[in-house]
Amino acid sequence: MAPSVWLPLLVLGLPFVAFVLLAVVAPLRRVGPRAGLVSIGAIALAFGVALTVWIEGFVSETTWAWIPADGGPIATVGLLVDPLSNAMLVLVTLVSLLVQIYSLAYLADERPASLGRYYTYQSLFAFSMLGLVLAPGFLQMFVFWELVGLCSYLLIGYWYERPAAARAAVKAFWITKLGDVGFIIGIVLLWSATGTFEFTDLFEKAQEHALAIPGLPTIMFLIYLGAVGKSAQFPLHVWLPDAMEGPTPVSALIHAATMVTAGVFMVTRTEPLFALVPEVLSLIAWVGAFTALLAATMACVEADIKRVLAYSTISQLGYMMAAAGAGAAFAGFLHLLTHGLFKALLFLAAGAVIHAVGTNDIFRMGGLFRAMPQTGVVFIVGTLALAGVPPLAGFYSKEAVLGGVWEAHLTGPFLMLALTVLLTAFYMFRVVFIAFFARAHAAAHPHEAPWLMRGPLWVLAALTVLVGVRLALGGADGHEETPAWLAPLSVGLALVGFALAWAMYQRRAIDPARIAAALAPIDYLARRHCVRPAAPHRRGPAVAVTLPFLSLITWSPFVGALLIMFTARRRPRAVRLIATVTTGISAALSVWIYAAYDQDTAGFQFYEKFPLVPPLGISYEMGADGISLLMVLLTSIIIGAGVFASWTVTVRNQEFYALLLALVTGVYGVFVSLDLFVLFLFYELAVLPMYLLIGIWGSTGEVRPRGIFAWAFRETGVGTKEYAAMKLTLYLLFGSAFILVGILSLYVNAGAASFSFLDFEATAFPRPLQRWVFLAFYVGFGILAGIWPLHTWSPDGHASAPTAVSMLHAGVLMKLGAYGVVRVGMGLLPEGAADLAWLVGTVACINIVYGALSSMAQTDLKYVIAYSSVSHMGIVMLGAATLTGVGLNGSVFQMFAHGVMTGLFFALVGLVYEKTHSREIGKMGGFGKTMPGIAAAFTIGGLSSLGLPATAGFVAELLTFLGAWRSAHRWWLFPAVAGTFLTAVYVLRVAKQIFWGPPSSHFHDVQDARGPEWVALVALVFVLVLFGMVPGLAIAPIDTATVPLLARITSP
Amino acid sequence: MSAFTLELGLGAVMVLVFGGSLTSRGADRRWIAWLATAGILTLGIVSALVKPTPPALSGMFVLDGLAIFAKRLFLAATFIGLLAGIGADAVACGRRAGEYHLLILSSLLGMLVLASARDLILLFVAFELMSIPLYVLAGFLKGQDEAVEAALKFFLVGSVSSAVMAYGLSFVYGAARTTDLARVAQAFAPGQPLLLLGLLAVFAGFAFKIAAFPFHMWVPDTYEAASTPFVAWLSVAPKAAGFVALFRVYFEGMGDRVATWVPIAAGLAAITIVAGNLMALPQQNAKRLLAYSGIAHIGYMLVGFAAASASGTAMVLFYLVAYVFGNMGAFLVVEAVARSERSEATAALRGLAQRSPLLALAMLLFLLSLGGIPFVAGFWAKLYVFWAAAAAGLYWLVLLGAVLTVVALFYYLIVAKRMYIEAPDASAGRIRLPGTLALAVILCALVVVGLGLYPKPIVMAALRVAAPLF
Repeated sequence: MAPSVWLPLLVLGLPFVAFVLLAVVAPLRRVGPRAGLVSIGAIALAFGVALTVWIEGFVSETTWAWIPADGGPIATVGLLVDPLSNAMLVLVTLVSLLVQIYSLAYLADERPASLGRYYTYQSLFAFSMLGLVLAPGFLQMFVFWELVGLCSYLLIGYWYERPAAARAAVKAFWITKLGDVGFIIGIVLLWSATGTFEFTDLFEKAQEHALAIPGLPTIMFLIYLGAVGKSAQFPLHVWLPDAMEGPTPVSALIHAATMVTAGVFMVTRTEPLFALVPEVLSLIAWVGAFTALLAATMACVEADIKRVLAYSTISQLGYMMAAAGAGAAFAGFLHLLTHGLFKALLFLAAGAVIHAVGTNDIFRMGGLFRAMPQTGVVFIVGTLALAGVPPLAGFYSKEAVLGGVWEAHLTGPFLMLALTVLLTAFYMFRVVFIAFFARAHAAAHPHEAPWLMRGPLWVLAALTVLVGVRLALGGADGHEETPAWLAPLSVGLALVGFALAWAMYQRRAIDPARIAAALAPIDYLARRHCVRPAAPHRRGPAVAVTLPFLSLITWSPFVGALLIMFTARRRPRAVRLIATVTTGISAALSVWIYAAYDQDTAGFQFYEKFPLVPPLGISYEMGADGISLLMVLLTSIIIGAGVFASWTVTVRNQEFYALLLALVTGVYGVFVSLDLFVLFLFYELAVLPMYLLIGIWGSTGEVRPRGIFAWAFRETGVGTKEYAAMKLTLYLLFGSAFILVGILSLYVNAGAASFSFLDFEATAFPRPLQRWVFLAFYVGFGILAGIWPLHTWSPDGHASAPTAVSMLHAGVLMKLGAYGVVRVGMGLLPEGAADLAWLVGTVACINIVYGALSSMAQTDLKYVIAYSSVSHMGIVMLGAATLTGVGLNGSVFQMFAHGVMTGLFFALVGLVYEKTHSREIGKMGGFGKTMPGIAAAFTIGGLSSLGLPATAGFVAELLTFLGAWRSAHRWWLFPAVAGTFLTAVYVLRVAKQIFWGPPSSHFHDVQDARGPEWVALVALVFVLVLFGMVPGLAIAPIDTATVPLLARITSP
Repeated sequence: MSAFTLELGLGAVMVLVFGGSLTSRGADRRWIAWLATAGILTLGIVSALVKPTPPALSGMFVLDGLAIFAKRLFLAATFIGLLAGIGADAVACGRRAGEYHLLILSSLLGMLVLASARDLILLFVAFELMSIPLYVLAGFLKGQDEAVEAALKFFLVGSVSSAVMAYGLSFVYGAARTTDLARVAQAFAPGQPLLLLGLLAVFAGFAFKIAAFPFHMWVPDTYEAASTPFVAWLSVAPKAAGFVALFRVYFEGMGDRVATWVPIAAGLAAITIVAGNLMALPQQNAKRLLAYSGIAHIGYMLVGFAAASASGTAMVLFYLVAYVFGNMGAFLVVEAVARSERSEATAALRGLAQRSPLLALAMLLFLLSLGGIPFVAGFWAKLYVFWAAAAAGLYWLVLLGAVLTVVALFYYLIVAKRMYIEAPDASAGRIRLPGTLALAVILCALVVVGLGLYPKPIVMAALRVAAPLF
């Protein structure tokens, strides 16, 4: 590999190594400062390498396949190294390095474990930001885009015990996620039109004028929405000031110098594309300029020093966006770089001040220049740079921006930006005069910050000056010819601002209160609407393999159930041992067949058959293709985790495990049966034990049935686990009635003396028959998949079931339904499926949105997760309904991802319930402190649930979205994407309520997960992340099954 | 062996029982019950050796496969019914033990003859021979007002239906000019309103006997008032006899004209399934619950009848077998619990799984079989009748039936819930039940599970005996 590739790769890899090290080696993380040194060491090395890359001026592009597909990969990952990314590499590593050093002193009072956590996040952030910068395509950019958002969320909420911090973290995530919804839709649309995510491909097409796609302005606008969220443009800027609840070094790094500039970087990076859509560009310019002005006015009235700087950042981001919109992307980028330096300087200096006086309120400071002269000096250097005073860095970049906007004949934005120059100088000097020069308060005795903090300050101050001098000498490479009058004008405006501040706050010649009164309406509007926290092909079966693997997998748990029933009476340890060993055998064998499956031959493998009832054509026939394999694997994972998660079941535990294992045999059986009749038998076996499992070991929540069920249950106690058990059983058996009728009608009509799937598949049924039999299968299996409006059994059932049963149920049983629709419905009745896809997809969209909205309204923890399953199963069904290769792959992948994720959720909820004996979200709070492990696992599960990149949920959702857009019903994409946003809303709301904030007074001595419980959590989290990082692991086998399936449906 | 071996044998057992009741003294006459049970067991063994013979009495009396199949079933049901009655049943073992057993045995004689009758007169006589002892038995507990009321109701409704049936038979004779069923079938053609009317009137009579809706009114009251081992037998044996007679009259020798009955039977099946299941929903008394659910089961058998095909007939026969053992078993568990709790309410079953796990398991198996769940006999029974109906094109009926099984599961699962999920009263201990009753329950459970796992022999036998009818 050329140095131009491995050096940038090294820059990217170093923080990642530090992150993994800190994340995995818990003892190292817990020692605190030394963990910091690991992170600092990595970033320092990365900075050194980045500097080399920049100086050498490397240019290269390297990509590797990431999501495989028929006919070339859908998505790639790689590195795009050019001057733009090189400059960003230096900026990111430099500021990260300084901030991390600074944090050592700033956070010295933290508990060692917390400090370790902080540096873990910092390393993850550095990795994510560098990945974003080096991204060669939209998809990778989006992945890292989301990851930096995640780090931002984690770091803002670093002090998670503070309610304000918890709220701010969630708010920041929600609002940026809202922009990202537009971003991802835009990316999908662009991919759908051009077939590529790669920047270089897109730029080439743009140059060849091959990008005349209808709707390109809309696409680019949607992509721009991502930048609006991330770079805090009006009206999505509201999260940034609140984000100041995080530690000050975090604000300096993420919310000033790096992450918030990602939007600007993205627009700069994809400038050739934006250049094709002038209308969007001018919109960007107008919005940017307006944002700059609006934020500047708000900065004028803030009393919190960090919030002043936050508004200032929004304002400066407005400048950069305005420049990008005016076609002067270079100017915007230059401003990005210089702003990164001096804004980090200002934040760090402000941090030093806060560190010294213990408050953010500038009116409670004063006279600080005398107490901490060094900090004062560097703060003033930063202020001058921000105000645009030559020869400091900010002057040149700001002038380039103003010049660019003027050249583009955008007079309106130019005037707004010019006025902002004045305001900038005003509000910055307002802070300087009030905090540093006003009369000192008696109470505080501030002292200079330690050298660890001062060092980075001086480095940044020196760079601010040096870069300015360099720009002055180099004439900014003469890139922009600015009018001669511009420099005097901007300096003059800055001086007016300075004078105004001096007169008002130093000389007290003008009373700020009167000015404020005059501006009251704006202030009111701003406070009312912006400042307040917002409410938020197939070949024949292969020859039989020597060992009947599938039968072993299927029947092993059943043997376990029998053993438990007859040998382990009143010996709980023996019961658990048998359960662990028999499910362990199944799990080991399912991993083995997953690996041993021959993807080149495809089709059904591990084939077994022997006649059961020969005159009727019923035989015991088993085989597994790509889809079944993945489902079998999922079942093994979930039941494995489920056995451990129910370690604490003590009441009638012999019966419990026997029923649980019998149920699992039914589940395996459905996934591998090729005889529809036997499949039906297994289906029943999977459903029935549920009744007793929920009825006996379930928990009764605050469920209250209405209507006919209330009447029917007048005798048995309304709103209980018995109710839920009964409702679930009846709904599912109601579904099985439809399935049975469907199977019988196929059998009768095929005239074949067999129930074999393979024989049915070879039969061409008449189209009208296909249509109604498909409908019967859709309703029958669909009930189990939770299709709206037949889903109501599922939340009640999930909520009432004991942990392991909820896990199996939401994790695997609902997939039986989806698997049935895809395998039996679509596989046997391709024409019927094609005719009714509109229905399936539309209902799926309702599911997604309805489930998510219902989830938001729940106060019972288990119901939140249960309704989220309804929403996620919508994505599974939507993927199938798209009748496209990507969509189907997404559907199957989502079955898997959702299975693992929900399994994890229910395991966690079970643990929380066990420790608190409550499911009321409202009563909980602050558990993050007492159960950090559970909190961390919940967060990862939640992030996968809302489709965060690098988790399995993202790949599944992405594929489904791509499929939806390629299907005959493009509008499906929108409810689907909206659903993911709603998911973010409720998942984070729950996480915040339960784990963050002050500890709840309702619960004492709640403990973290212990022993066997950990096994379940760690295994599930590992799978979730593994399949998110290496989706090919699952997609390759799925593809071997979905391609022939689809060929049958789409062939005439 | 003669065509009348079983009937003669039964006559001998009746004479023995009669003689025994004349000679015995004292309040405990358990040995009479033993005698009758042993007699039926012997007859059952003999029935296994019986082979089809040519028609006797100039074609009035046949002993073909269907008759033998049916007779074995009647004997098995009676054996279990009598076995369960020995032990603690004061009715079956008290002073009136002779009377009780003679009545049951005469009714059984009626059934045996009915299964072989191919003549209108013989059919009617056998029918009445079967029915009249039942009226008496329903009111056997003459000291109880409910029993007398139920018996009277049963008798009045039964007499009216017999009258309707006799009236219908006269039409049939008038139109066909023969009492030979084989010739009636040849004479039958859709264009003969008189004959059709007569056969429909006869159908109504049968509908009463098998308790199809709306001829079911006598069922719940009678079941509730009479002694449980008798009810267990009453709920299955006469119904099985009714179905065999239906096949004889409406299918045998009809050929293609069986299609005439499809709409009538399908309609009746649908109404009966819906009504039976819905009426069972609010029941709190286990016997009434089983009574209404029994009505629904008759509906499911009518689904097989509505298919009007050899396979449909065979599937009804299989259903009958599954139903006989499943339903009797359920009644017998109720009997066992009622003895210890003095209550026939479903609430008496509370916590049974923790009190007597095996008894609860047996009940669960019976309920699952009645509900049509895989791995027990009832699943195959439902599946086979649906299959026959689907093959006959009656998809709507199959769907309706399948959906209503869910309703049925609801009330069966309520019972399961009482046994498994609810906790027993603190004072409640293990339920003690007499050995003979336990044996009867175990036999039923073994058949239900055995047929669930390996239904093939009975299915094949049913298909063999049903084929010659068409």
